Amino acid sequence: MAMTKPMCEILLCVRDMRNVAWPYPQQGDVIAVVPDGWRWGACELGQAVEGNPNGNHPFWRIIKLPNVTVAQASNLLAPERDTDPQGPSPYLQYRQFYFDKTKIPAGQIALLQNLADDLRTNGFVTLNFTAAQLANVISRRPALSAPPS
Amino acid sequence: MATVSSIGTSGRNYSTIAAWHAAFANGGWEGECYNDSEFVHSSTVTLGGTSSANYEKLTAAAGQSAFDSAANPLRYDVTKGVGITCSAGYVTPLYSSAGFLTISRLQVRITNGNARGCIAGDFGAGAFHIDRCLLQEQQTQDANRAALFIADANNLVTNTVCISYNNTGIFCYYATGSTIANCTIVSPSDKSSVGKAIANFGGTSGITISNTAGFGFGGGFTDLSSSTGDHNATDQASFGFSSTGSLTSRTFANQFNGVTSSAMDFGLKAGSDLIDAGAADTTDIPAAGDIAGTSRPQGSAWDIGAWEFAASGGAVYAITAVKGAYALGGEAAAFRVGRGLSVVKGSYGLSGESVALTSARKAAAALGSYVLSGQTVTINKGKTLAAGFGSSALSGQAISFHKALGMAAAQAGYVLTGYAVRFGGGGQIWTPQGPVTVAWSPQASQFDVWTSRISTPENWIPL
Repeated sequence: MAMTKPMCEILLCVRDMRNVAWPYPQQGDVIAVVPDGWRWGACELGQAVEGNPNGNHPFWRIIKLPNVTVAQASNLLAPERDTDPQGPSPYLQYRQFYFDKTKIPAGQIALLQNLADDLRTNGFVTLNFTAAQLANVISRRPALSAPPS
Repeated sequence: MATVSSIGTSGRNYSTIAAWHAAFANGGWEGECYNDSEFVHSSTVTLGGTSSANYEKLTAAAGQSAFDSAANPLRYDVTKGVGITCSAGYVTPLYSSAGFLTISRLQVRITNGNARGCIAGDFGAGAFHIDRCLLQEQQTQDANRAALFIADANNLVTNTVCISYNNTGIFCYYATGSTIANCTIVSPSDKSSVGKAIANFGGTSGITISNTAGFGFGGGFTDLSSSTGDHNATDQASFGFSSTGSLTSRTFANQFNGVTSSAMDFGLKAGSDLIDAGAADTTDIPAAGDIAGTSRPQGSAWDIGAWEFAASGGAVYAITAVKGAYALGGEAAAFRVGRGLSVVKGSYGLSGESVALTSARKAAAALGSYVLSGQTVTINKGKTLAAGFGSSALSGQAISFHKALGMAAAQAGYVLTGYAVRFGGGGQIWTPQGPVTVAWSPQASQFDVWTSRISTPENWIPL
C-alpha cells in the first residue's frame, strides 16, 4: 500500500509587524499551518492586490514541509502563556516558539535565499525536515518584562 | 480609507483570518469572510486595531452570513453561512487582544473544551463591539466557560445569540460599563446548565442589560446586582438586579421556535411574550434592525432578544413582472398578508402585466400613473373600485357588477361610452352631469335619474 507523506504548509513571518496591535507577529513566527494543497489567498502568495497597501506582502513566506504533519507544525501556533498564573504578564507574545534562522544548518541555500527574497520571486520553498529536524531550528521566545521598544 | 479584503479558500485575498489580521494596515482594516469552507482554528486567533482610526472589522461578505436570510434557524449551521470553529481544546476561535474591533454577522462554535468562549477579550486600550453574531458553546468541562467572555470595560454586544450547553451565557470580567442590548442568551432545555445567563467572572460592578432574553439557565439570570437596564425577559422568578418593564417566570418553550439541542431555533415563535415587549434603543442599535436585518419594530414596539418577529400571516403571494420598470434583478418579489407594498415615486409601471389581488387587498395609486390599460379587473361582491380623480381609465374593458353594488365616479372622467352595462333589479345610475348611455334591457325595471337626458338605442327619454 502506498504511503502518503504527512505534508503541511506554513505561512512564516520574516519581519516584526509593529503596526499590528500587540501582540504582533515577530520575525520567525508562524502565522498559519495548513494541509498540503491549501488554496492560499493572493496576498499570502505575494501577489499585489489593488487597494491593499501591503504590496506583495514581503513580510511573509510560504514553506512546504512534506515530512511534517499539520498537528506537529501546529505547535508553532501556540501563543506565549503565563508561567505564573498569580502574576499574569501584560506582555505575552504572539507565539511562544519561533523559526530561528540562526539555527538553519549550513547547506540550506534555497531556504536562506527564500528568506532573503522580499520580492517573493522564488515562490514556495520546500524544506525536507522531519518533525525532529524542524524542532532543531525552533527556539522559545524569552519572556518580556516590558513592552517591546 | 479602509482596506477591505476578502477571506476564504476560493482564491480570496487571504485564506485564513489569522493571516488577514497579521497583515493589518492603518486606516481601517476590514475583512469580509466567504463561506468557501468552515474556518477551523487550531490555535487562538487574536484580533484588534490600534486606535479608533486604525480599527479592525471582521464580518461576512454580502450574502455569506447565515443571517442574511431570515428563513434560517438561529443555531450554528455552516451550511447556511460563514462559520468559525476550533479543532483543539483551550482554543478561543476569536480573541480581541486590543479592542478597536467590530465582529459582526458571524457564527462561532466551540466544542473541544476549555476554551474561555467562542469570542473572548479584551484587555486592550479599546473596546469591542459584537453585533448580529451567533455564539454556540458546547463544552462540558465546567461552569467557568461561556459562549462569550467580556473582559475589560465599555464593550458592546448587540443583536447577538449566545447559546451555552452546560456553562454560562456571557461572562463579565472587569467589564464595568459594558452594554448588552437585544441579545438572546439561552441554554437548550435538555442541557440543564448550572450557569447563569450573564455572570460576573470578577471585578465587574455592573453593566447595562436591556431588551435581552435569558432562558434555560439553572443558575439564574445574573449575579451582577449593580447592573441597570430594562425590558428584559427570563424564565426565572427575578433578574438579580432592578430591571424595569421586564418579564419574569415566562415559559421557555413558549418563546422560541425550538429550545432543545436537537431542534434549536431561537427565533421568536408566534404568541411569544417577547413580541412587542421591548423598548426602542437606537443608541446601541442605530440601524434599528435585528440579527437578520429585519427592521424594528414589526409590531407596536421592539421585541426582546436578537430576533424581531415578523408575522407571516398565512400564504405568501408572489408578484412577478415580465417586463416594464419593476426591476428586481431577476428576483421574485413576495409579500405576505398584512404587509404593504408601496412605491414612493412614479417608477412602478405594470404596463402590460396582469395583477391579481385576493379578497381584502387594495391597490392604490396616489397619482395618476397607475395604468391598467388592457387588463382584466375582477371585483367580487362587497368590494369597491374607486377613482379619486379622473385618471382611472378602464376604457375598452368589460366590467361586471353583482346585484346591489354601486359604481361611483366623483367627477366626469369615468367614461364607459360605447360599452354594455347591465344592472340587476333595483340597480341605480347616478351622475352629476352629462349623458349616461344605457343599453335597453327588459330587466331594468326602474331608474332614478338626475341628469339632462338618458338615451337608449331605441329612443330618447325626456326628463
